[in-house]
Amino acid sequence: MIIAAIVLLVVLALMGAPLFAIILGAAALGFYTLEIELAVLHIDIYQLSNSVVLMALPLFTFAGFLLSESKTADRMLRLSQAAFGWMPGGMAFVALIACAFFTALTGGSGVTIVALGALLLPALVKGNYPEKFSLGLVTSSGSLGLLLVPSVPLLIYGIIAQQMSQQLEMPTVEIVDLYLAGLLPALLMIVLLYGYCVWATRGTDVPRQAFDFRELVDALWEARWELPLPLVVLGGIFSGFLVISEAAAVTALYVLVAEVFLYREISLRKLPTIMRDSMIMVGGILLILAVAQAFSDYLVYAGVPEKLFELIQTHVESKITFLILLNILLLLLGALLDIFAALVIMVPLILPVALRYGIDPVHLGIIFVANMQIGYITPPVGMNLFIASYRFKKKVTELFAATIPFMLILIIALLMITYIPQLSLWLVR
Amino acid sequence: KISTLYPDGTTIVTGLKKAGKDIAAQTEGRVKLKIYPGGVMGDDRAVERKIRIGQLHGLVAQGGAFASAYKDSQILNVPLAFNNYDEVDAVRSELDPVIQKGLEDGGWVSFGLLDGGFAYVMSEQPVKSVSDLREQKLWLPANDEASAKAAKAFELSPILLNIGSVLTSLQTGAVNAFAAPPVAALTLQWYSRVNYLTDMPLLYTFGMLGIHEKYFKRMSPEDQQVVRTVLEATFDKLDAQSRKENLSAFAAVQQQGLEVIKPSDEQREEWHSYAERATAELVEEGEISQAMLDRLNGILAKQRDGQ
Amino acid sequence: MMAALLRGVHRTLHHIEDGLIVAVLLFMILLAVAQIVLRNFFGTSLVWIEPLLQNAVLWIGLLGAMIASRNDEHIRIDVASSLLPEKYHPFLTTFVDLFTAFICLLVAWYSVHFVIEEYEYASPAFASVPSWLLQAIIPVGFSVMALRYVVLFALGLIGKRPKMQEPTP
Ligand code: NA
Ligand code: NA
Repeated sequence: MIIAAIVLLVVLALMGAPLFAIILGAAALGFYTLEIELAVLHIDIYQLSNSVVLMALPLFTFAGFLLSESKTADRMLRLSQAAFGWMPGGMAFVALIACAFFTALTGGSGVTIVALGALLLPALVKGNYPEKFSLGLVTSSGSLGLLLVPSVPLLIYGIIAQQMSQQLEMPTVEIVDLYLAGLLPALLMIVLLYGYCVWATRGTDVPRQAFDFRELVDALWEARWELPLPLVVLGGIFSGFLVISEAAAVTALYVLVAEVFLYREISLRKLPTIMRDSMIMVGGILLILAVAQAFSDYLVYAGVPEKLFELIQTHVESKITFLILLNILLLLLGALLDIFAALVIMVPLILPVALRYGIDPVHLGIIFVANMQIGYITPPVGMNLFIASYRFKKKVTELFAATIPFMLILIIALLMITYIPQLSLWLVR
Repeated sequence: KISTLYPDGTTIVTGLKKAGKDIAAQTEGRVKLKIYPGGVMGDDRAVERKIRIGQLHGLVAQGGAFASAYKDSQILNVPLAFNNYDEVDAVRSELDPVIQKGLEDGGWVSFGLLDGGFAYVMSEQPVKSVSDLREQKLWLPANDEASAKAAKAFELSPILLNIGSVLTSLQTGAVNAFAAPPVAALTLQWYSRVNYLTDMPLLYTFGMLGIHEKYFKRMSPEDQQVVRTVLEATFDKLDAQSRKENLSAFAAVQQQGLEVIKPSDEQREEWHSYAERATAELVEEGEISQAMLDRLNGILAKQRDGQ
Repeated sequence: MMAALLRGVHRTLHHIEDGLIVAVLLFMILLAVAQIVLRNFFGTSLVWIEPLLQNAVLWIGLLGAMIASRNDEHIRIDVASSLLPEKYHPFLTTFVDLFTAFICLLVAWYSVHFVIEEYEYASPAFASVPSWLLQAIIPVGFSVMALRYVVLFALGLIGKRPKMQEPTP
């Protein structure tokens, strides 16, 4: 009976049922078998009103829509070509750096793809990069900055580890150390991805331009109203004036003023339509986040992660095997669970065991988040795939195919990060 | 099925798990305790809703989470009520049973309180007087009516942030003062961003386990008795243990370099007059009954006379 | 007559949804900026802004999802429609619409009961805003979505349903 229902859900998913309905169906089925009243679905959906960072999603999305409705992408393209066009794969380089910084600031809630991807994709395609390559690059770069200051997942890991350090024999885990430790691994990922970009586009006709100082100055002047934006956001956060959600609000207001009143590329009459359209997309994403909460709740309630973990714990002897299995387990979990749920559930389970295998808790934090980063682009619950699908009007399957080479590069980086602890610990210990 | 925000591996969660094993053994498996630690089931309000529909049966939380079932359980949280732990112990030995009984009439079966320690003001600049504190960018938790009310009574204009952004806000200077028990300041690393601790126990905090009566009554009377005996013994032990942890945390933050600031007698006087005003407001709004407040003051007067 | 009335209701619902979602977003920006100004220039915060903003996220989420259901613009993993020839597609959508409507109805049903109970508990979420009012968007949202998928199902039966599509914002 239950098995028949599961099969039916899978079939319906393949037939094209909306994902939110499938996930809700799975959660409802799970709770039903545990004899829990299904009002629990309502309670879990209401949890959407319980996050302090989530507000950044609609606000950054709206700002991104405004930017993409005006000629920002053109100005970005011109400027980055002027600055980096002389490098091989210059535009791809710009994409990687910009995404990494933006994701670090927004905590990887998919905002990067919405706000930046919308600019980068047309710019890349205009710059003669193949479309499939560009889609893959933008989709997989959307979670690139999770190891950089002031990444929220790393902070959460640190807090959990500190709370546990009272009960366990382990070196302290300072949040600052985690951010320092994340620096080289993040750079490694960027370098490897950039290397792949140069290699992958070697045959194609991506025009390179000679460096021209005047052109750079002109491009800077043309982008004068938009250039201060990263400064406003980064400066606001690091100076302590703003928390993330507020930075998003300031961004939205700033972009609105810049595009409507300074560049005058968007009319006031068009504004409500842009607001509505951007919020339709946000609604689709928020709905998935809400029902994923319900499904996560079922998994945790039924003790599924623990059972998975116990199974592994009984079969593992050496540190290397443990690390290999850890990577596999975390990749699987990253594919199924939301990053915050995964952190909260798995860190308390894994940390004590990892310590017994002699793994440094700071290193473990980096491994953890690096795994979860890849989880963003793996089906079935690859948030970046869905968001990109929404944003670029492409099928999820098509996007997944485009991200495969980038995912392989990221897995190589992950393996290096996992098996060369010095990469993480060099700046710390 | 019990939820708590305390993470797995902490003294409290470990203690509860052990109690669960004892209960299962003594009831021959009829009663099992399943603990969901680390807030995986959501915050207190979400957990309360889940208890209402029967997905969960109880929670370990700060006393305030149960205040709606028995308002006078907030009597221990009266600002500046206590000068030291002896006074706390004197009051608790008399009022703990009263609170427990009141909560049980309100629908929550509990098994004893859990020492949460005193909350102290910790700040970047020394804080001696109320006006010193007014000049700080004081953090208060968002979504917390009780502390917002207290801040109003002290005429403070606090900065409301979610607990998760406190450390970064301390680092960047968006806030530079907070009131918390030293244990919290230590585990959340907040201590590393402040220089001074004002030696004045602002507020006593406590936690407790509440199991909703609806589910507790489903067990046979014999099993109920077993659960009570085991959990009450457990909470006695945990209470003493957390007291020890709170005391050592107070010493630890000083070792980490926090300078202890002692307000003058006049300044203390001023603090207390504001605290009295805040308490009077609590009584006026029906948060605490006058009878309960009188009782608290009676015990304290007796204790202070005795010394 | 009946049809004209239905069309009127239909259009009014669209206007309400569109108006609400734009208003909520505007309020969100303005309130958040007001809070920043208060904190950094006046050294204070307003207690009710933060919870209101957090609930605005929920409202935007459900209003957006309701609007997205008008033309079935939800995120999906669509394999069958690219494998099967065009003539079988109506068969797929009929099943899928029925299922989606059923799930939405299921959530709406339990949600309505929970919100009524919350109303009876009369617990305020913050300040004096009752929490049932904030939560009411969930049963309303899922009811509207259920209704829309029933309509899509009916349109499918008479061959007038818009084609199943990947999201097109
Ligand atoms: Na995934
Ligand atoms: Na994920």
